[in-house]
Amino acid sequence: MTGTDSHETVAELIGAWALDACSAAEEELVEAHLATCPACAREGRELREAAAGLGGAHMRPPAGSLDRLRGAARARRRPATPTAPYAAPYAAQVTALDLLLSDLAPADWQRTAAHSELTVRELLAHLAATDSLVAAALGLPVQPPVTPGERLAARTAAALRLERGRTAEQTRRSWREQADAVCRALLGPPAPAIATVTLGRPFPLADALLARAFETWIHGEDIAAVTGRPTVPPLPEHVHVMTDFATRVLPGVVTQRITPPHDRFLRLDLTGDGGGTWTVPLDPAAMAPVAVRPAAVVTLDVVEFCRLAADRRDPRQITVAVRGDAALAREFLAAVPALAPVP
Amino acid sequence: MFPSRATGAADDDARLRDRLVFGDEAAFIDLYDRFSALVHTIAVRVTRDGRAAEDVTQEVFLAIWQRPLAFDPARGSLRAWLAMMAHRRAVDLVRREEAHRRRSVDGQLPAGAIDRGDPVGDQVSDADAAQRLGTALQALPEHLSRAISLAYFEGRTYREVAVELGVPEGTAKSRLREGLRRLAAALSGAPGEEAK
Repeated sequence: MTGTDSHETVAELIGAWALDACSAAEEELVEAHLATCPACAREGRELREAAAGLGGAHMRPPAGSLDRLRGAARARRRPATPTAPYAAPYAAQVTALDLLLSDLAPADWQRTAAHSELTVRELLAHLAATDSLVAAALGLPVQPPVTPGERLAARTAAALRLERGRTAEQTRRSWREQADAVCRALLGPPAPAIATVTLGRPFPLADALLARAFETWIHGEDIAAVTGRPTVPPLPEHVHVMTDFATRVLPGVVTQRITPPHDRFLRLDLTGDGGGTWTVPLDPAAMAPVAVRPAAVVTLDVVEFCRLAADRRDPRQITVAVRGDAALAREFLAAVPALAPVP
Repeated sequence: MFPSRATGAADDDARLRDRLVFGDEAAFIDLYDRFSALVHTIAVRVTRDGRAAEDVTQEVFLAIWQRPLAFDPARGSLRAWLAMMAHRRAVDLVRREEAHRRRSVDGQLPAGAIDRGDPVGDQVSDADAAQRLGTALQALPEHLSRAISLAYFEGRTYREVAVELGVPEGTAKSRLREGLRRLAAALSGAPGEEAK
C-alpha cells in the first residue's frame, strides 16, 4: 500500500474511528497513520472532541462511587505518602519512579542504566542504600545497620550484597517501603531533633530530602532512558526548590574550579516552569548582596540546568545564552556537573 | 513565586496528568469531580444499565490512575481522551453481550446480563439536560444524525450502520465523518460549510 493509498483509506475512516465504529485492524491502521500525518491528526483530534460531547454530562455516578473508587485505586497503585512539605518533592519522585518500575519487564531490570555501571536493580538498591542514611538518622530500623561515619560507596556495596538473594520485586518493595517510612516519620510532630543527615557531607534534614528527591528523579530518568519508558520532569514547584538547593550548594563546588578572583557573582536566569533567578557567589563564604552587579548572566532552561548539575548534560553542548564575562560563564558551566557526586 | 508558562487548556491537562504521575490523590479527586459525569453519562447511554455503567466509570478512572502516561496531551484533550476510554469500554461491553445473545439458542439472556431495553429512568431525571444533549445531534440532517446515533449510542460498526440504513459502506463512513465535522465546526463557532 502506498502512502497516498494509506492516507485516502484512513481519511475515509476517520469519522468511524472517532466514534469507535471500526474493526480493531482498522483502528490500528488509523492510529498508526495519525502518528505520522499532521493533517489527519488534527482532524482526528477535532472529531474526537465533537464525539466527546455527544453523550452529554448530566448523569452522576451513584453516591459512594468515589469512596469505592479511591479504595480500588489505592489497591492498584499506592499514592504518594503524606509527608512534611519539604519532603513532598521526594515523595513525588518516589511515586513516579515506582510507577515506572511497575511497568518493567524482567529483562529490563538486568539492563545497565544510563550514566551508570549498575543494572537497573542495582541502581535501585543504591538509591535505597542512600535513603537508608536518612532513615537511620530518623531512628528507623535499616538493613544492614549503619555504622557511624559509613561512606556512601561502602553503604551501597553492603546493600548490593544484601540484594543478591532477592528478586527484583523484593528490591522494589523494600526500597518503596523504606521511602514511605521516611515520609511518614517526617509527618509527625517535629520530635526528631535531627540537625543534619550525612550524605557524603552533612546536610540539614530538609536539604537532605531535597537531595534525595533530586537523585531519585535523575536515576529515574537513567532507568527510563535505558528501558525506553516515558517520564515527566518534576512539578514546577518541585523543580524550583530542587534548583534552589543546587544553587546553594554550588559555590562550594565550583570555587576551586574557577580562576580567581572569587569576589564575583554570577546570575542564573533559569527559564521554564519552576525557573527563576539566582545570584551565585563564586566564594562559598560570600553572601550575595541584594543589588549586586553580576560578572556574567547565564540563561538556560531550568530542567536542563538540573540535568547539567547532575552531570547528565555536556556543558559545551547545552543550549545557553550568556551576557557579560563569557570566559567566566564557560568555566562556571564546565564546573556545574561537579555538583553531581555531592549528595 | 516562579514564572509559569502554564496557560491554556492543554497545559492544564498536562499539569493534571503530571500530578497523577506523582501520585497526588487530590489530583485524582479533581479529575473525578471534573469528568465523572461526562464518563458516567456516556457509559449509561451506551450500556443502558446503571450497574454496568458504574463499572465502566470505575475502570476508566482506575486506568488513568494506573497508567497516567497513556494520556498524551499533545494528541488531544483530557476530556476527549476520557470520553474515548468510556465509550470504548461501554461499546466493548455491549458488543460482547450482543455476541452472547446471538449465540444463545433461545435468545434468553443469563441472569445479570445487560438488558439493553431497560431504561435508567431515575438517573435521567433532569428533563432540561435530557433535551439539551439531543440538541447538537438534532441540528444535523436526519441522515447524518441517524448514522452517528447508531454508531455512537448503539455501538454499531460502520459496516453494521451501512446494513441498517441500506447504504453502501463508503456512504456510511462518509456520513459519520461529515456529521462529526459539522458538529466540530459548530463547536469551534466557525460557520460549517454546509450548515446554512
